[in-house]
Amino acid sequence: MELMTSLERTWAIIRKEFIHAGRDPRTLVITIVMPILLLMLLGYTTSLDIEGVPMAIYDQSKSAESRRLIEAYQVTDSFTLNYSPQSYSDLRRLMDSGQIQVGLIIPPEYASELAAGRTARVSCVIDGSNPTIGSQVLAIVTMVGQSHGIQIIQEKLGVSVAQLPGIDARMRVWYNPKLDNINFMVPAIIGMILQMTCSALTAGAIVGERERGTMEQLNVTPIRSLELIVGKAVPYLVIATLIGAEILIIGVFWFGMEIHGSMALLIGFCILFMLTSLAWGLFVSVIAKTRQQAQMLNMLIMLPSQMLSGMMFPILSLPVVLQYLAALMPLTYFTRMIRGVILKGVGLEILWSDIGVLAVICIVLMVVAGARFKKTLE
Amino acid sequence: MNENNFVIETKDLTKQFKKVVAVDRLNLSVRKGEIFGLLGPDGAGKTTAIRMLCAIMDPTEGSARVAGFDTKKEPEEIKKRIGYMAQQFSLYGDLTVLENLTFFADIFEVGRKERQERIDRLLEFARLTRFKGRRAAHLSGGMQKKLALACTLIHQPEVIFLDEPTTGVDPVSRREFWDILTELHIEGVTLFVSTPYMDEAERCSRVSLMFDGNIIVCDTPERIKGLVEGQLLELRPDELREAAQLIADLPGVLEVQTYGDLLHVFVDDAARRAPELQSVLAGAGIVAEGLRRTRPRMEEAFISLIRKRSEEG
Repeated sequence: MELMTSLERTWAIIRKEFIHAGRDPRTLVITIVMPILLLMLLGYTTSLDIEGVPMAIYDQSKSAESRRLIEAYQVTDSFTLNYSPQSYSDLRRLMDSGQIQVGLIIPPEYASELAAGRTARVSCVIDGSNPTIGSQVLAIVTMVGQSHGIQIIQEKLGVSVAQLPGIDARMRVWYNPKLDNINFMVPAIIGMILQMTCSALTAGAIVGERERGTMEQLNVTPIRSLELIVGKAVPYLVIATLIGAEILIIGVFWFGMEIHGSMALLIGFCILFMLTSLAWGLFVSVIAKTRQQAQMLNMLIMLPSQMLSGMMFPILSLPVVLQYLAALMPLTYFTRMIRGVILKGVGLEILWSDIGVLAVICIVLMVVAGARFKKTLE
Repeated sequence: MNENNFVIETKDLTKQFKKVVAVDRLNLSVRKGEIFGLLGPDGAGKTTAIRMLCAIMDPTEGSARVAGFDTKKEPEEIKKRIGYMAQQFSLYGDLTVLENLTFFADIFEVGRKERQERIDRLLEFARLTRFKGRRAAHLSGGMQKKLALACTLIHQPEVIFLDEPTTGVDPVSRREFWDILTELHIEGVTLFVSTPYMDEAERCSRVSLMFDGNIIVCDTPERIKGLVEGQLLELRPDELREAAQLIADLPGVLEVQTYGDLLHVFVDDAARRAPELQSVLAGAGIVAEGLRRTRPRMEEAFISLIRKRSEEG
């Protein structure tokens, strides 16, 4: 029966690929260990949380009130106060040398201004060399200052703020209430690693045959292009699945990520994305003549893909041209899908358009690459 | 299915790569059971021709039929019936001898029952039984070629194409390899062999000389050798170049070729010209040893024919 022989031939390729993989233990180890390292690295270093930022307060007032203000800052986790500068130049020196990133200057008239019922000014100096951190630090400094200010008012008025009429704006963070960076990062990292693994491995596997010259021999056998492609893809799908599972497990059990959505949906998304990456790898293998070319082509797409996919920077904050470019990248859709499932717990009803686009990209890539993948030499 | 019992037939088979015409209107036919040799120097177009016959490369113009099927229209039918041994080693180095054979057995859908028996027989045939657990990359050059041959035979094809199968192999292994090919020939397999080695051409049923994409001559080795004009004298002069120059101008001398320390001189009448040669050389003070009449080999015939062809432009 045609199908049986087809499957047998495909199985022959699959078995051969596993033997190859087994005989190359170094690559195998790297493939399995690298995602873990990457996850650890990115998980810890890209944390954008403000914690323990070094701060120093130059207290010119030296009053009970100024000490209370200092305490307000000491109490938060966001800042660590290790220094007591006694002059502007002290403060300046601390900031120049990078020992502190933010400094507060409490003027000598702080206590007297407060007692007179006037607004007491406090100056804040921030190291702006890292604008992202800088602006967040400013926000927290302001927040702490304001809440302290409200407390003072409370005491002055002898009432609790809650009793005053006015707008009570409360803030609740939906999805990711702890604003835990990890929850944001891990799904994106999964996407990144799945993409790299699948496309690099397929491209390498097929181009490798061509480089070694074995493709010529295969072309003279009855094997069909489809059987060859599927046969090569399956072992790498298996490996990619293992890696994906590995990352999810680390994300959940090590980093404490919670999956709010359906696990089945999550797996489904991952499979769709893996197939798309494999299709891309196949596409590259049709174009590239050597392994090096294949790697270069992959890098060409991977890097912008990661920058534009919404993993690090929100897409809406990108220039419009780049937003259009982002719309072409499969990783963009997958990042949305996987964050949707893990962080928001949403399902098909919201994500169907993303799923649809990804499926279309996958099919297009497969068709184009499959059509060009002929069993002839040129 | 096949009139005249031709297993391979080409009609103006042409392959052009951008500006280079690698194969130029090739016309040849090979009978069932022949050992057909395709002879020619580097760049003659042999590999391209073989690739087109194996249906792994499309011709730019012209057509070819192998085992009764058209190479462009029914390539898969052809591939079931032929074996192809490429010039470069194209098996899997990190797989063992046995694994390589098993892989091709799988790909060619050789049944479970016959498989073991065939593999054992092929290992025996290729003198590789002892090495079946060794990785292909760790075999010697000659053994790799034998393994490649064994892998082409796993599905018992009617025709085998071999592209320079013994290039880079030591003379002893070469002879062993040809012994194996002869066994196949006796079994009735058609062999299409391309080779730059003239002595191998002698072993073929028919030989076709290829040069610059064209076939210059196609016939049995005997008749090709007979095509060379004149009779062949061989001598060893102590001043090679001077002797060659002197002799070339003599009457009755058709062609002069050097061969290491020897001069091969084609003359119209050996008996008459030999003493003339002797005296002219002696007159110039050149000592010529071993002057004798000898039969031209493929090499001489080949060089002579190519030279004529390039002179004709």
